Amino acid sequence: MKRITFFLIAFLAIGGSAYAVTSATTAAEGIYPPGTSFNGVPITGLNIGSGSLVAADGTAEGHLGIELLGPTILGNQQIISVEATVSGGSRAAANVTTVSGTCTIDMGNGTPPLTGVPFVATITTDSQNQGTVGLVLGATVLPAATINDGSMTIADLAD
Amino acid sequence: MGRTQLRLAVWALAILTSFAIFGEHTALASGNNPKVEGGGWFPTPNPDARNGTAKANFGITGKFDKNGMTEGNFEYHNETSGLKAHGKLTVLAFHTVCDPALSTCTDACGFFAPQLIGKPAATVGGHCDNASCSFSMDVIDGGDPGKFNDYVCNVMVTGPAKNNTVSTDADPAEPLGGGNIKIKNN
Repeated sequence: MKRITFFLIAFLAIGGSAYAVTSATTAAEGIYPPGTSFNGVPITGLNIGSGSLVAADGTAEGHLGIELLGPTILGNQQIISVEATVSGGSRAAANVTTVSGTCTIDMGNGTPPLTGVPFVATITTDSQNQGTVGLVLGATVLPAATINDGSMTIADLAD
Repeated sequence: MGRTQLRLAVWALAILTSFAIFGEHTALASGNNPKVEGGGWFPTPNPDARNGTAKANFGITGKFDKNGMTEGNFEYHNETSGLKAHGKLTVLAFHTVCDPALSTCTDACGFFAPQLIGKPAATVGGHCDNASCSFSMDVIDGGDPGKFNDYVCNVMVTGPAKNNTVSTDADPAEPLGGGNIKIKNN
């Protein structure tokens, strides 16, 4: 009977923890390592504004608005816009959250936007509420962008 | 009831409890708790910007816990002035953008963007953890995509900026230039 009681309590404890929610918010600028490119376009940095809620069961909701900063030609900068809708996520560590889903990518060069592109974004914060943002857009794995202005927060929310 | 039957009954109770907890609903989908989440950027007037308009990035999450307490976070960053604010939400109120022609309407957002009347909105606000900033705005879910359909309204953000200055962004209403806001209010 003691063993059964123990398992019952364990079930309830695990069930309770499944309701914990992670909040991941960003409003920041970052820079890419030299030589970084996306779809053949060299990119130097990114701007990101996002808010996502990630449940312990892997479900997630939210949105990321991202601009990848391309080259400036004749005074006009090519900006690649990424509009990402979050449908899944996880919390790998206290300061690391990964969200995934699909996104629309507008290359900013007049070509039609790419829709339904799978994405994965890994947000890693440091003690200064900055850190890095890693992006996988379709089959392209971008190196982590180092956040150098603005802020990012990963926090626990109660049920 | 014998010992074996009792044991089976307790196991059945444990399994049923697990199904009730882990069942079809998820932590985010269950219940009808209102919540807001989203982010992106909007143009905001700034005399120091090259064309007089700066980009302000923002990100928010907001909901109520099971005791009805506000929880969530906000981030804000003006790319030109460097104004940044981040902290926990302490103000969260859900409403619908009302028609300013109605005497009962005290919401200014519908005056600046009449197409948003009737759309779900949330008032969000808070302070930096070290009290160095304050943040308040209404966010409006105008539909998809968020760009040009979703709005921020009654923006008032004060906090540290470049060169050890304190800056304030105040903006009556702006459409999102990128990003999306999702509000569930039922």
